[in-house]
Amino acid sequence: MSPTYSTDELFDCIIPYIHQNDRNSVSLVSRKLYELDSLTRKHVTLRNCYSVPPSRLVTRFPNLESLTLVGRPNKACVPVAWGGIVDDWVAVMIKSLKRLECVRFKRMIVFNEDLERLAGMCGERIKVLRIEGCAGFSTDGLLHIGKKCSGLRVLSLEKSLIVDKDGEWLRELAERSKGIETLNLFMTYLSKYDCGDFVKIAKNCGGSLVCLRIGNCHLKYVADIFRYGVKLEDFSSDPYIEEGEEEFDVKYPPTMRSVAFLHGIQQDIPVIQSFAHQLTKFDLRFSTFNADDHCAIIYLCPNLEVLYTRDTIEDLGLQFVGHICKKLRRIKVEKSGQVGLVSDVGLLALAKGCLELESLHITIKDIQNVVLEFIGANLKNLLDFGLVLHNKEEPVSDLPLDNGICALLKGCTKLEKLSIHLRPGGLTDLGCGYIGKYGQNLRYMNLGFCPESDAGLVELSKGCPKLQKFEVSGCDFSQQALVTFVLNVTSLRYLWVEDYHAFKCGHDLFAMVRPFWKMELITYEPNVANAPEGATQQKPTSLLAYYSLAEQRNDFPKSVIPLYPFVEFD
Amino acid sequence: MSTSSSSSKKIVLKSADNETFEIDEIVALESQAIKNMIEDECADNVIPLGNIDSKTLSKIIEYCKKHAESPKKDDNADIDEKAVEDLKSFDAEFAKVDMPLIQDILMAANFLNIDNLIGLMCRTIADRIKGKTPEEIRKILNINKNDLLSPEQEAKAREENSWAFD
Repeated sequence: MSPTYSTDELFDCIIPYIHQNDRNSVSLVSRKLYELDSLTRKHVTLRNCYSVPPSRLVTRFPNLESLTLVGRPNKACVPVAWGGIVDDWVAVMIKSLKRLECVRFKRMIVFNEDLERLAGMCGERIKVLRIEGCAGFSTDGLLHIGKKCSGLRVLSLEKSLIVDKDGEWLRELAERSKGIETLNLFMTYLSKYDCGDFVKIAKNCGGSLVCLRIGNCHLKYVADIFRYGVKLEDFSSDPYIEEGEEEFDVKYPPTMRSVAFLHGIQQDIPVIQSFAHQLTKFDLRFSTFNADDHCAIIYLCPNLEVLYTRDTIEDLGLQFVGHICKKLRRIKVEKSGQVGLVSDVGLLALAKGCLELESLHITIKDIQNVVLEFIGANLKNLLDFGLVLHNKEEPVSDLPLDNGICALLKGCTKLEKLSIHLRPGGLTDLGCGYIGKYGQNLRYMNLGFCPESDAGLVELSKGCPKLQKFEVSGCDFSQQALVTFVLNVTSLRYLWVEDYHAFKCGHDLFAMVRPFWKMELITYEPNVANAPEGATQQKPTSLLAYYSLAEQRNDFPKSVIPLYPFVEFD
Repeated sequence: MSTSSSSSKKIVLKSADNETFEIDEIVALESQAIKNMIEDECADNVIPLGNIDSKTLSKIIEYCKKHAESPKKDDNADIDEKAVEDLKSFDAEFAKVDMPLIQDILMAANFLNIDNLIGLMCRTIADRIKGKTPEEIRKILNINKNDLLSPEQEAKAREENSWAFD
């Protein structure tokens, strides 16, 4: 005999336990589950802020507590003014999302007025405000936040382009705040602040402050910050002393876990060595450390889980990492601009030594298939792999990498993100076919200088059943092949084709026109400040395409040309 | 049903299909609902549970016994890890039953207000539907055809899910 109960009651119990990633599937299961998911979903990320209109988001999820919106494609050639104005979003947040506590805008346009309106909510509702990689506002806008947001726990402005008028906003923030956990000004280039205000924040919020990322700061203030910030775990700054002043040691608090040195120099090494054993995360991308310096530091960092650095670490440094950092989960080795310092030797050391790696990004000058095979055999937790082969002139030992990529994908079955930038001949059409066949869990792919031909792209499109976002650059396949790719990969929601030469050849691209599929051409505006030497000639157009349930947007600058099926272009 | 201890106070539970279960009071107290009844002195010698069948009830008693016998975390700060591990593996074994029974246990645990057991059953269900498609989840949860979204509603939600929401 089976008792009677309503399944509704059953689902009420279950819904809080559903894994976030399963919510989309669960919402389609039945009317009741759709409704329950709508009412109980607390967090949503829109990786493309145009994918759905604000009204539709708040109708479906009226009780959101946390919302992340991403705007501009993360590409150097996309102008800051591309779009992603937060205005309409802020309006619905205020009007409809009464439970919203965490707001995160990434690479969007935020005006001072938006900050003023958000500040109105900060006092009571918003506890976490992250405006990262954004532009359009000044410290005047921040002043509204500083004055009204005494309840803020997190304020992050990381990588935002902010017009720096004065430091009044920080003074207000420091005066009023009691419970700040994170203040992040990393890479904002703000400097017109009074460092004493950071000390005040550390003093007023000593019981809560966990993360402080600031720019220039005199060492004496850093010492004070450490004295008051007894819970500080994550710190980055560029501490300095005036010329002629005497050096003095600053004792890093025992709670410190994560550090970035914005201009780390050799003299900093003894200090670093004094607390290196505590660290789980180290960001050395902005340091001037050479391989020996890296070794002197890494040697004392057995607990590192995250390491960001540049190729000045060299193969020797990476061999140290492989030996010492057994807990490493993420590593990123960016290029320093010097001639290739890291090779397959360093990568092999990581593949042999750091078996817990989940994310591995590296720029190297040489590679062999066997190294990729090692990664496939050893790094079973790898979710995210990025390989850039640089220095086009140097010969590479072992191309193409077909077999290596095949072994890597066969071995690293959890891999969700794959980013490889090779050079012509780096991966044949056969290799692309392997990615399609074995990339069963890939959601994101970024390929440079491969596939080589139309056939490779088409082979790729026969697999990758979960691919959502595809970015490709330096390739010359035809418009027909691109269309075939898009139509084959039904999971695709976002496409980026950089420097698309073949775009000039006809109108075949329009064969991919479908309801809700928006296409935009990004034309290149020569930017004197950012242009590499001699780059005055016209850079080819790039293509951006994505699904959008919103109306055709009209907030783009001149350099962005929306493609309608009926538009003629040359 | 027999129990081992002799001196402690006994409680008798009666299932919907009229089977009786005599258990130690300490075991019954795992249920917040029964605990309240006992404290409010509105529990007779026999507590009838008209909406729980004997199969489900015996599973629930098995769970409560084990958990009542195990040292509680807040009793003793340094209970040995072995006991925690032991309880964990008991829970894992306990949850290895078919979906209808899991649902019955969950609903009964919800009625009897046994927090840990509710959590265990919900986590088990969430794990079983992890990574599954809507169609597969319908089968697992035995969803009635009449309870589905209309084709239009489903198409709209599907578009939003696959293109926008993460």
